[in-house]
Amino acid sequence: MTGYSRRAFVTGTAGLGLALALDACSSPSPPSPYAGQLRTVALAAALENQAVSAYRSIDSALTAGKLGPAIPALAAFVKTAMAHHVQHAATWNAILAKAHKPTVTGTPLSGNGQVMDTIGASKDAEAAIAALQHLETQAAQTHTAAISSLTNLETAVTAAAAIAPVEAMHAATLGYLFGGQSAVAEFIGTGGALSIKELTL
Amino acid sequence: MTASSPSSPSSPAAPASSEAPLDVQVLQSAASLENLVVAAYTSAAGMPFVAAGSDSLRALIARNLAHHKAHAQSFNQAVAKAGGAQQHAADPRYAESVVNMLAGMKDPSSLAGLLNQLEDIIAQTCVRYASLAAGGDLRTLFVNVASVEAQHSAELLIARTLFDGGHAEPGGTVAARAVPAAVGTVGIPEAAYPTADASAINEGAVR
Repeated sequence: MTGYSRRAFVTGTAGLGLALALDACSSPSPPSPYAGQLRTVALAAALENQAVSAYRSIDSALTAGKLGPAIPALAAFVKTAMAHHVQHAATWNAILAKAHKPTVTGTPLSGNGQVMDTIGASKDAEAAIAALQHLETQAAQTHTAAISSLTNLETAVTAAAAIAPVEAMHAATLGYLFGGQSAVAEFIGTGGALSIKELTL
Repeated sequence: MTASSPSSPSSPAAPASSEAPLDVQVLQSAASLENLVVAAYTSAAGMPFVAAGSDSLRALIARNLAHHKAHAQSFNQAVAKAGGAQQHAADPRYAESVVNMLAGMKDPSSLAGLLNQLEDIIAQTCVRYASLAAGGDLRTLFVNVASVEAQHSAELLIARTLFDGGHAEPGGTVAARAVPAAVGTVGIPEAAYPTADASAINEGAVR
């Protein structure tokens, strides 16, 4: 909710006095440093950072034996996929830096808490695999959707085209090798793509 | 590309034809590659060792074949919308060598290897074309298809590794515990999908 809409809502429901009191306590959000296509790039960087955090959490859980008996192939996959996402985040952030915009170092996504809660709540390898597969499919779909709006940013077009298939391969491996069931569809689709509205910067 | 890879004398760096717009040429070339792979999967499905083999291999071949038919149709619908002629022939650069290689297939491992090479060629080509296409809808179509071919490739790489190692087919975490760590990464070989083996933009153009 923006500062403007928050003020309007409070004025309409609780009166001017309370509105003024709340207004004094809650300053409007600072303007986003990203506009236009660079917001799409920032969203992609944030999504990659989220994936890194998710894989790091699962890596720690696997190492600690919290997800059941060891699965060496899964441990290897997690480390490699995490390294890929680190590289993807660097690719997106390099585009932001070249445009003289701040890089995205955290996970400024409105749904991040819920995603990480789901990852952290994984009690076994099956739950962790399903959660990661969902994230990877969402990332592939987000990059696939993004490329249609990236018109004058050649480096971002190239990045989206080269990264989306890799996220898709991560998802396919999780489903086929570790899930025991292929989930490859006719098209990767864009129905589950993350909206630009999820970016909180 | 290895010596046993599908190949032909044509150069992937051949110049674009001046006879058709870029979008028409890349859509026709993409359709021609899909037609090539539809023919390859159709041939694979009829091979004796596939027919007598595992249910999962047959299912994978049938599913991928259906996907490629859908991709060919999508590219041809897009090329018609762009004002070009639909492409129903197989890619001329690879057609002959693929037929010859399929004729020599004797086992699931080598078949998976060839099909993976074809999937990779289409994926690389679609990644490159996504960067060249003018419209947003076309870019999305190319990435959409590239991602699915990349997924086919990942599964074929895994399947081939399991065949070669004498391991059981994928069966969830129980089966996954029995395979070496290296199997876990065989389906995700790169952080960024390459384009070095992408087809030239006019490779499959209607002439």
